[in-house]
Amino acid sequence: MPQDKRSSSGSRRGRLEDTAKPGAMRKILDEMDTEAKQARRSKSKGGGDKEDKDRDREDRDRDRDRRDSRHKGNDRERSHKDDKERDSKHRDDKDRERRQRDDKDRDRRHKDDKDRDRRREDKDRDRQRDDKDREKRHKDDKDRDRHRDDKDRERRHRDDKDRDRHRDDKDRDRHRDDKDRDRHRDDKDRDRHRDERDRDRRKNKDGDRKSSEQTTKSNGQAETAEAAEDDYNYDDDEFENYDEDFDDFEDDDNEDDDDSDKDRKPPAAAKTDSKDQQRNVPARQQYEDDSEDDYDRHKTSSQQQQQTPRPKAFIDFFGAKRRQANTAAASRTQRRWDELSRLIDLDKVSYDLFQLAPLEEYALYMRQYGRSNAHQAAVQTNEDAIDREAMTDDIEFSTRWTQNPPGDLVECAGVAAANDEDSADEDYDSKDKKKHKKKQTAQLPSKPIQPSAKSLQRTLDLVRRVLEEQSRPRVPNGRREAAGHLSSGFTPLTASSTYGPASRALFDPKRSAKLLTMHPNSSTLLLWNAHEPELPLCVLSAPGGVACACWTPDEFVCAGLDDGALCLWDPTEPAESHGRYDADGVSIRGPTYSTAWSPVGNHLGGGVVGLAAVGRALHSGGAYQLVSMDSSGRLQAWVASTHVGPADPAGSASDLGLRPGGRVSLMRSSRLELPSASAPLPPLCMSAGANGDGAIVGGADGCLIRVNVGAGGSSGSRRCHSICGDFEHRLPASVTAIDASPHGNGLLLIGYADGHVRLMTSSSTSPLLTVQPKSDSIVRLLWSRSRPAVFYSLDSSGRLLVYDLTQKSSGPVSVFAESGVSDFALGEDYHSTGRGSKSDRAVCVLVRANSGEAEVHTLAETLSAAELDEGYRLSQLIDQLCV
Amino acid sequence: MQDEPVATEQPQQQQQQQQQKEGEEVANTYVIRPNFESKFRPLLAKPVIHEALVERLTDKAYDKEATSGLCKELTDEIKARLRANGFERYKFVVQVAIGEQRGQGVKMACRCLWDSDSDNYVQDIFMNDSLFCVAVAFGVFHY
Repeated sequence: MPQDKRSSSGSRRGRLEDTAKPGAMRKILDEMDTEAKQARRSKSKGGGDKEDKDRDREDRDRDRDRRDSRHKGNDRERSHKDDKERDSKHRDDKDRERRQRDDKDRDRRHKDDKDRDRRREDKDRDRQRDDKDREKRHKDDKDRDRHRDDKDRERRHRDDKDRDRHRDDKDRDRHRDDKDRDRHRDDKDRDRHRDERDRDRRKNKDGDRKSSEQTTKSNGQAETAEAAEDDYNYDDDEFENYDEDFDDFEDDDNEDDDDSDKDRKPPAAAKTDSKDQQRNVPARQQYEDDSEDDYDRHKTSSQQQQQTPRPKAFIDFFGAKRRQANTAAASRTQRRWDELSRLIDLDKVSYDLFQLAPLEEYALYMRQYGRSNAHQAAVQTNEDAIDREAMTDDIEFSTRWTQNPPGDLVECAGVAAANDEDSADEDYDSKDKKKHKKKQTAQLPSKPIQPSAKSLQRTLDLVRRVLEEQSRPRVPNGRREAAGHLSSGFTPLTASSTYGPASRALFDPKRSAKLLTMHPNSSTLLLWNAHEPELPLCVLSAPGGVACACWTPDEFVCAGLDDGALCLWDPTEPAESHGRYDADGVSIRGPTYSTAWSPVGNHLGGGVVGLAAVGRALHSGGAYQLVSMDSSGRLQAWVASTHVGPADPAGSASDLGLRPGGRVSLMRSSRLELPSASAPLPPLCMSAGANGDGAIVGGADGCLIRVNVGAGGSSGSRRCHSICGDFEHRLPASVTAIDASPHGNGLLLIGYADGHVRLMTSSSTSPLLTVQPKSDSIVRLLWSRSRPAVFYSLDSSGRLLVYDLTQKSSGPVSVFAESGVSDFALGEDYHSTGRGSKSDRAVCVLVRANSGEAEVHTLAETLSAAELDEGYRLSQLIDQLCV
Repeated sequence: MQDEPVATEQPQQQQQQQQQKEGEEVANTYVIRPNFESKFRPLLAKPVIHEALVERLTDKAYDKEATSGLCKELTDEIKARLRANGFERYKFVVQVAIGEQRGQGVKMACRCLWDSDSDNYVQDIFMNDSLFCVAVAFGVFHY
């Protein structure tokens, strides 16, 4: 105990010296010193003076520090040594003995103050020698050599495990104490002292030891590693035991141990340890004033108390313990992993936890802007705003044109020209453009207008004539006396010379006041009122040369052009809608409907050579068709349809053949082919049938074919009957004129190119009567509109003959005109037949060949007044001829 | 320990002891798969996180000062809620990130080295006008 006091006082003094604490502490120290001196004096012979005392103190400090430095520096080594700290019980005894021996040594040291250094060496050597002696008891020589530095540990290896276990708890406590002490000891001076002393001691040991290797063990890691190697296998068992002792299930406990071993001793453990320590040494506390000092002293005292004799062994305890726990935990973890790694597979995976796209500038702006009390609205009015899409569909449009008033000779409405469309359609994409162009080409007329030299010539001619006419005074038309006896006088139709000579004249079959003259030179038809010969009613202008014309039962005028087109005029149209007038103020009208522009198309086989209206007028409850024939013998039937309702001044978008404002159009109802066997040569003339149910076509080979265009069969062969195709009846000349009797007796007159005239009935195939030729080829044959038995014939020499079947069936009864007639027409006679209008009188129009003028002759009584029994006598004659 | 190669210097006696011990000792058994009921399934855990986020963050605006504290509270709360849900033998790592929404782009990703059969993660996002919050909970099975 006195020794403990001394050492503790020593430690306190060391500290006081360093920190220069004031006097009170110094007094205590002095007291302690004196005590120590007395004790020393009592044991040793020599009394110590003050110098000795000081030195003695220093020496002790060094001793203790050395021990501590060992603790700190060689953790691993110590942990190994620690393992072997499970000492036998009798080692306690030994320790005690050792301590006593140390005491003696120390006493000796005090006595020999002057040779203290030497003495200390001796003492150390003695101590070690003692230790060795003890070790020899337990160890063989080899082991001792190797572990000379850690004799305690090695000795413990050989000890029984049972004993180890008993001592375990105690040891651990001790180690904790050591650690606490380590932590609290901050004194650098002391550390330094410790180092020096360590070095000294090591030298001492070197001197003692004979084996060279082990001497520097305490210094570096290399040595500690060796030690670990050496001891490892022995340790294993102990670890096992240790683990088993510390129940496997107490994971927490073990973890704590692990923690403490990893240089991080939990403060709780430290506290408990210090408490334990305090409990162990209550007596000492009575002498201490400063608790910290006291604590320090505890450490040192306990150290000295337990291990002063063998400071090295003590140092090993804590480190070894820690290392052992460390290794235990590591090995446990390692084993765990070894076994588990066979069972499980670890894989590396990566996840996207969160992704937020940066806001666009605009959205950001809107987000901030939206916080203010504002709305944003978008409105698009045109395609200028290309950054926004329009919600409406594209508007489809196409450019068309119309002309008001419409032009007469050309189309009056239609699709815009390609150039115009291009400019208009700039915004369209190419696809749309293509589409529109296609449409346009489809609607273009199949035969475009050629402003040829011919038309230019015509226009110039017109101008010249206008100028001539203006220079010459107009001759008033007066009624003139006719040259012959058959005409009671005539009135010439004074057409403007601009229209050229007339080639044909046609009376409206319904109203004979209406007269049509054909002027092929100017491609015009003049419409006259026969009672007003001064001026024509209107001029019907055709886009091409007029080849033939006819009246329809609806009083429309239809003309076939030499380019295969058909034109239809509606004379009832107001003149204002046409807006063109000639020099005399006569309205010039273009065709109301032209097949040239219409989708139905023209005759493709050539110019139209024959045109006939078949059937009755619509307003009289019937239906009629127009039959046209081209030069190649193809027949086409047309239906004229009148549009209901007011006319569209803008024209029809679908039917470009219709003039804007027009109300009538032509539609093709059927195409007919003449039987090729019966018509090897193209037919030359055509006339409406007698009963209005068909047309009769005369062929160039002399055959006659009836064409039924009514609602009959569909095949051409069934609808076309050869009337006199038999060879015995056929004349070897082409048919040039055909006329059906308007009196309803079914009589047909056929004129031939060789001058023959035949009388036939529509029901028979053989001629009733054949008139031998008196002259050249027949040009035209017409039944008289007044007398059923009278007919007129015009031959190519311009002679107009009158036949009366009741008087003379073999030849003409009189000559109407000797020569100079190119065409003639007969007007309806209301008085004798009741047909036509009341004002109609028996008139005949003669077209002069040389002048081209038309003369309206009033027929003489003999030709216009029918005898009462004329019809009866004619039928008797026919009967006779049939028999 | 038994698996490690026996050092040649080891005394014969100890080797025998070890062999004896091996004979006695039954090999360790490990639970390497969670029970199905207690397996950490994102479908079950996601609502937990979501609730926590919604409760704590609804009507909250981003506050620079309060965010770090909020994150800690959220992590603790999520962890507590997950534990209360009885995922046995699972250790949880909870991470919460709160950021201000200023139109910036954000990308968060993670990499894990783990046993995909038993371990999983749950992630939930809370966003409002001023802040976004990403909460991730990694559930790692403790064998």
